[in-house]
Amino acid sequence: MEMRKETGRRKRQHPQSRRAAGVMFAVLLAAVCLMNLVFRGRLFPEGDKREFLTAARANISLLGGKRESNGIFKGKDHYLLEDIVKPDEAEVSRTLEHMKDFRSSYMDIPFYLMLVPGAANVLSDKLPVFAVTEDQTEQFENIKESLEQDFVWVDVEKALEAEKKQEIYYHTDALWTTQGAFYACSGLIESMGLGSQKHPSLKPYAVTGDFHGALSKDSGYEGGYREPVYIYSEEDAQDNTKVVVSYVEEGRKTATLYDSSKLNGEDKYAVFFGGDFPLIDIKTAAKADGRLLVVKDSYANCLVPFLVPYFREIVMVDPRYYKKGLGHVMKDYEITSVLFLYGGNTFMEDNKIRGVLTDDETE
Amino acid sequence: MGNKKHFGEEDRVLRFAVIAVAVLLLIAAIVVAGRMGNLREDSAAGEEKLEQMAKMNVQMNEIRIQELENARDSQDDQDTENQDPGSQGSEDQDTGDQSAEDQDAQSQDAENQDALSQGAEDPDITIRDTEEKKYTGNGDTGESKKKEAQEKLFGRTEDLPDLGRGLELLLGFLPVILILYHVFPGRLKDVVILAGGVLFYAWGEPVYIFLVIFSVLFNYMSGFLIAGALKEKKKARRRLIINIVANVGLLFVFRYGAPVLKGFNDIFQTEIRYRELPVPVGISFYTLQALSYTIDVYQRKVKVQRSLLDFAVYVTLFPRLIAGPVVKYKDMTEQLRGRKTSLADFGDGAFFFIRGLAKKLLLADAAGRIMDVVFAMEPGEMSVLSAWLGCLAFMFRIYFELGAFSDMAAGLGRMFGFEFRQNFAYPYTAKSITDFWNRWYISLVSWFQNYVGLPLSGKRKTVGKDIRSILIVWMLIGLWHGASWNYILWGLYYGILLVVEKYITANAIQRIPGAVTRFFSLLLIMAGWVLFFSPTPGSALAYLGRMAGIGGSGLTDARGIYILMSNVVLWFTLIFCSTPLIFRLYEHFIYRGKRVRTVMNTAVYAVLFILCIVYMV
Repeated sequence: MEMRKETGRRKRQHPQSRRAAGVMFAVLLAAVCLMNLVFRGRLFPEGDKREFLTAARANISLLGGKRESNGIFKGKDHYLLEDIVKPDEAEVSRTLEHMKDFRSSYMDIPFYLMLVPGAANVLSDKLPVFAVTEDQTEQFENIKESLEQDFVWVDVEKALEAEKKQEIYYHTDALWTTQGAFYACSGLIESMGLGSQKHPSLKPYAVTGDFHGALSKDSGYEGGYREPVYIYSEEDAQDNTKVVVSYVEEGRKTATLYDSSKLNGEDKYAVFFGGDFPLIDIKTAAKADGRLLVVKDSYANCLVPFLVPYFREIVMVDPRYYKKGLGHVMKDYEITSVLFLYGGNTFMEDNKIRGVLTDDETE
Repeated sequence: MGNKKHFGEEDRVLRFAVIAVAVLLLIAAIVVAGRMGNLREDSAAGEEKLEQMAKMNVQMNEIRIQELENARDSQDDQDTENQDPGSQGSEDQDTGDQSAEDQDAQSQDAENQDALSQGAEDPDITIRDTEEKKYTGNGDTGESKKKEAQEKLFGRTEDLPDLGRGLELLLGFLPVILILYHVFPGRLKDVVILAGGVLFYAWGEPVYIFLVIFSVLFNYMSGFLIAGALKEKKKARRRLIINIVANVGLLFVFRYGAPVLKGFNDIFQTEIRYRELPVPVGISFYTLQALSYTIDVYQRKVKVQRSLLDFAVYVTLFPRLIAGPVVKYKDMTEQLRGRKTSLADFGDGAFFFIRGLAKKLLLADAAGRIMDVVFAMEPGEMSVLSAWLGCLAFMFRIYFELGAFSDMAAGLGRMFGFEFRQNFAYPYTAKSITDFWNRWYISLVSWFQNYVGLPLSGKRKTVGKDIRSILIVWMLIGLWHGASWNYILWGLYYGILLVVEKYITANAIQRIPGAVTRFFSLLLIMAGWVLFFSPTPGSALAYLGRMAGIGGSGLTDARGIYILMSNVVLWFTLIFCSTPLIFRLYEHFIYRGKRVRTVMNTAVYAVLFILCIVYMV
C-alpha cells in the first residue's frame, strides 16, 4: 500500500485555480442548461437531427486522423463512401431460395438480377488510406453463382468500373447518379436483347445543383457540399416517350416520371417518381410489347426512366412498402419479364424481398 | 495596491474570455472547413425540361396509349397494317374529352374490381403478415443475440451504463440537485442529497425504490440489534449472520438468480421456471456498503448510527453515481455530519468531474468503438495484430470507463462535501501483479480484504490460511463483477498469480529491472482481460491463441493496419493518459515558475467540458 502514497493523493490545485474552476463549471453548466431550455429541442434534438453536433464531432475527430463516422468513410475528392455491409449468410441464402422458388412458377418468362455495387467497391481508390471494406465483388460472385440457372445476371460492376472517371456516384449519398444508371442500363438492355440504345438523342440535364445526400447528414462530413442531380431528356421534352404513371395505392396519376416539387424539399433525389412508393404502374406510348416488373429499392428510381422506351408497361414494386404478394401483380399486369434491381447493401440487409415472394403457395 | 489587484482580476477575466472565444472560433472553423467544397451545376435547362414535362396531360397521354393498345388489338385481330398512333392522337383530339371520361369510368371499374379481389386476397395477406412477423421476429432475435453477446463481452452493463441518457442527467438532474443543495440550509441539505440518491436508483426501474428503502431500513434496524447484543458475543454473531445472509441473499436473487438457475437448468437438464428480473441499478454497490456498516458495528469499530437520515444518505450516497468507489462505513462516518463546501471545493469537484467525463466520453467510448470492430470480426479472419489491438482496446476501455466513474463520483462528492479516496492509481504502470492490485479498483479490493480476507486468515496467520484467503477473496472479486464463469475464472487467475508472486517469485521480481517486470505484468494483465471479456473459457483460449498466431489469419492484415493507423492519435493519447506522465507534465505546465496559470488551467478544463458535451449527444 506504500505505492498509493507515492502516486496517490493528488496535490490540490492552487485555491485561486480551484475557485476559478468552480465559477467556470457553474457558468458553463448554467449556460448549457439555459441554451437547452431556450432552444428547446434544437440544440440537443432527438434522433437524426443532431446535424451540427454530429458534424462537430466528426470534424474534431478528423484532427485525430479518424476518417470514419457512423460507418461512413470520408474519402478523397469529397467522396463519402458507405461501408460495405457484411451479410448474414443464412438470411441471404434464404432470400435467394425464395427468389428461386418464385422464379420457378414462371419458367416461360425471363428474370434478370441487377445488383449495384457500393461506391466503396467501385471507387475503392477514393477510400481513405489504409481503409478496407468487405469484398463486395466476392459477395456478388456468390449470389451470381447460386442463381445462375434461374436469373440472368446483369454485370453492373463491370459497366461502372469502365466509367469510373465519370461522376457515377453521388459524393454525399450512397446512391448512384443518373449517369451511373445510364451506363449500367446499356448492359441491361443488351442482356434483355432489346438492341442498343434506342434514343441516342437523350442528353443529361441538371435539374438542381443543390443535392445534399443522406451520407453527409449521417456522418457529419461535407456538410456544405452540394451537387447536381441529372435527368436525361430529349432536346425537346415533348419528344420523350409519353407515359401515364399511376401510383396505384395512392390512387393518383401523372403524365411525367418526375416530381419537380421535390426539388424544393430535403430529399431532392425524390424528383424521380416523387420517391419510393409501394406500387407504381407506368403505361407508355412506346412501340413495344413487353410488360416489365421491377422489384426494387431506391437505386431503380433513376434507372427506370431509361427503360420506358422499351416497354409498353413497367410496374415498379418496392417490397419495403408493398404489403401484398407479387403473384397477383404477375397475373393482373400480364408481366412478360421481371427485373430485380437493388443496391448491394440493401439487398444484403433487406429481407422484405422474401415477404412479397411468399404468397403464391396458397393460390 | 488594491486598485492594481482589481485590474489584475479584470485582466484575468478578460484573458479567459479571449481564450474561450478563440477556442469556440477554432471549433467553428473546424466545422466550417468541413463544409467546404461543392460541385454546383447550372440547372436552368433541366428545370425547364421538368416544367415542360410537368405540363403534360394525363388524359392526353392515356388516350394516346389507349389508341396504341387498340392498334395492337386490331393488328392482332385483323392483321392490318400498323397505324401511326401519333397522328391519330391529334386527329381525335375533339373527341378526347369524351373518351377520357370513358377511360375514367373504366378505370373506376377496374379499381372496384381491384378492391374486390383484394378482399378475396385477405387470407393471403394475413399469411404474408405472419410470415413477415416471423422474419422481423428473427431480426429481433438476431439483434438481441448481438446485444446479449455484447453484454457478455462487457459484463456488468447494468453497473457500467452508457451515458445514453447522460445529458438529461447532466442538464436536468445535476443542476437541480446542486442548486437545491446549496440553497437549503442545514439538515435539509441531507434530505436533498438523499432524494437525489433515491431518484437516481429509480432511474432504470422505479419499483426498485422499494428495494433501496428496504435495504436502508433493514440495515438501520440491524445496526441497533447488533449493537444491543454486543455484550453477548454469540447473540451478536447470530444477528450479524442473519444480516449478512439477508443482504447477500437479496443481492444473489436479483443479481445472480436468473443466470444461476439458467446454468442449473443447462447442467442438470431440469426446467425450473424463473423470471429474468432487470438488475437493480447499483445493487452490488449499496449492498457492500450496507454490509460494511453492520460488520463495522459488530467489530466495535464504529458507533451505531442513530440518525436514519444520515444512514440513508450513506447507503444511497448519491455522488457515488452508479459505479464509483465502494466506500467503507468507518471512512464515511465523519463525513455524514457537518460537511462544508466552499467555492474552492466546488472547483476541485469540477476538476475531477470534468476529467471523469472526458475519460468516459473521449477515451473509453473511443476505445470501445475500436473494441467493437475487432470483436465483430470472424475468428478466422482476425490477424495477430487485430487480436492484440482488440485486447488493448478493451484494456483501455475498462480502465478509462471505471476510472471515469470514479472520477465523476469523486468530483460530485467534492461538490457535496464528501471526499472519496483515490480508486485507481495508474494501474497499467504496475511493476508486478501485487502492485497492480494496489492500484486497480483500490476501494473494492480493500473492502474485500478488510471484510473477507482478514476474518478468513484469522489472527494466527499460517501459509495455508493465507493462500486460502487470497484465493477466496479474488474469486469473490471476480464474482462481484457478474454471474458468469469467466469472471470467477478471472478472479481465480489473479488469486493464483498473487499467491505465486507472494510465495515464489517475490524476491526474484525485485532483482529484475523495473522495465522488464512492468512489461511482463502488462502481458499477464492483458491475458487476464481476455479471460474477463470472453464468454467461455474455450473462447478465451481461442482468443489467446489468436494473439499468439494460432487460428487467426496471419501476423498482420489490412484491417489490423487500418485499426492501428486510423486511430494513431487515439492510441498515443490512451497510452499517455494511462501513465502519471500526463499528470506531471500538466502540473509542470500550470505551475511553471512561481506563477500559477489560472486562466490557462480554467480554459483547458472549459474546453474539455465543451468537447464532452459535443461528444455526449
